[in-house]
Amino acid sequence: MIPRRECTEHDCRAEDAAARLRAARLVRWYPRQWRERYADEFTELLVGDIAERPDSLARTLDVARGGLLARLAGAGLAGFALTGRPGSCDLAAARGRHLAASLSALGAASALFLIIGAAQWSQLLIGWVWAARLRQQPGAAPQLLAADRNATFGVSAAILGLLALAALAALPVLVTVAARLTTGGAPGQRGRLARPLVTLAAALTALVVGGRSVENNWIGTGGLHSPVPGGVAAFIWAVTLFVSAYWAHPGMLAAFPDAERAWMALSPLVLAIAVASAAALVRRADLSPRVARFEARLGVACCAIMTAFLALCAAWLAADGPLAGRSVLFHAGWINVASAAVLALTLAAAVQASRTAGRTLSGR
Amino acid sequence: MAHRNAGTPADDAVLAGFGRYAGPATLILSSLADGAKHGYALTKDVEEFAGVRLAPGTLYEALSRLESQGMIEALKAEDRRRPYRLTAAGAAALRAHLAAQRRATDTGLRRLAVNWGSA
Repeated sequence: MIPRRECTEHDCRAEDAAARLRAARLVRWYPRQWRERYADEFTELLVGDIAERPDSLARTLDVARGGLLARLAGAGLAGFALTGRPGSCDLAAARGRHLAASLSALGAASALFLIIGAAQWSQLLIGWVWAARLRQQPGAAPQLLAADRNATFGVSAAILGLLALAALAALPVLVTVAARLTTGGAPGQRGRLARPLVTLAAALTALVVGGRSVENNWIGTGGLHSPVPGGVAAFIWAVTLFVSAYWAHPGMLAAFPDAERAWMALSPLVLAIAVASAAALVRRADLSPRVARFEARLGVACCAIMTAFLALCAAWLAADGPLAGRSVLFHAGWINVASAAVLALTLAAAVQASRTAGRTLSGR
Repeated sequence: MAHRNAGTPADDAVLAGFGRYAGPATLILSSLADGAKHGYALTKDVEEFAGVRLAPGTLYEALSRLESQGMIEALKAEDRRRPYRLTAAGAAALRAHLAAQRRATDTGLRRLAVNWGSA
């Protein structure tokens, strides 16, 4: 029985209504799926707690923390499989959903890392090519440091490794999706898979068409030695053109061709749609336990490569970054520092998703 | 309803795997060992026997973890409050966890008595 201060019936009703309103506000910290399962009983507990301790900052903070953790768990970045309504599903199905969410988050974080990492790579390649051009001029000062060269080669290898892992990860997912689309799978699954698949195909097509049409503005290798073929470098540069310090200099940005500026604004949206569609496919494909284990292992390898990539970037920024005091034309700027911060965040999310997937697979 | 199967170290590992939630989970399982209870009754019972007040967010974090691990199960809701009861797996995990804690407690008390005298 929830204790209550002595009050008139009218006052009691008003207090109860106020407590319910506050409890309802607190419950909003939790995600929809959690609320569907626990909202009623949790609200009752909160109403009782509010009656005992009307003002409690500790309770608000505790509920906020619980809600944020539940949201992270729902995104597959923490916690455990959330069961459905009692008796409506078994634990295995809940764990399957949680595992799919973790793998989906792992894929999305890795894809974001690859995109921002490719922009860093592109910056390094530009520096490499221009340094090679300047070297041809008599009396030119050396432009590249050992850290620049190490980062260029190391990051090139890491990007190739990440692309290989991405291809290995995509293959079984696409095979599973194709099988589900041809055999039907669960009721309604065809539609739930077809939408993100079509969206992903459209976004990738837009990226290829847009990137190819803008890549002509790439400075080109000018026939000089480059660690990667000029066409590949140009395409990567074009697709990641939006990672640019020019956003902070509107006057200079205004001098860019209209098509290039439009592409700089549009391409992050297209990339976000592509990543979200791929993540939805992973989440909805109902991967077999064997494929899920394979994907989780690839995720661990992916996290290792991303860590090496970030370490190379950090060494590059330390030696040739904005605080290193070099005055040569090509050096890492604040945009590269900001990119490295984003890379660190996406790596942290990927590691967390990978650990959550591992825990779910081992049944813990 | 009595479950006589002895808890194993593996059972204890399950509860220890809860990390910072092992404390609230142990308290909740101990409370439910006495019979099914809903959230508010659980809070009051734990406060009474352990002197710890479980905050609502912490309580439901632990409850949802325990439910997802199959250590407790939800019963039919009564007037919007849903009681929970201990499962056999939960009883085994609690028994193993408490046995491990008792070994540590007994060792600590014995060493205190030998080296520091009895209180």
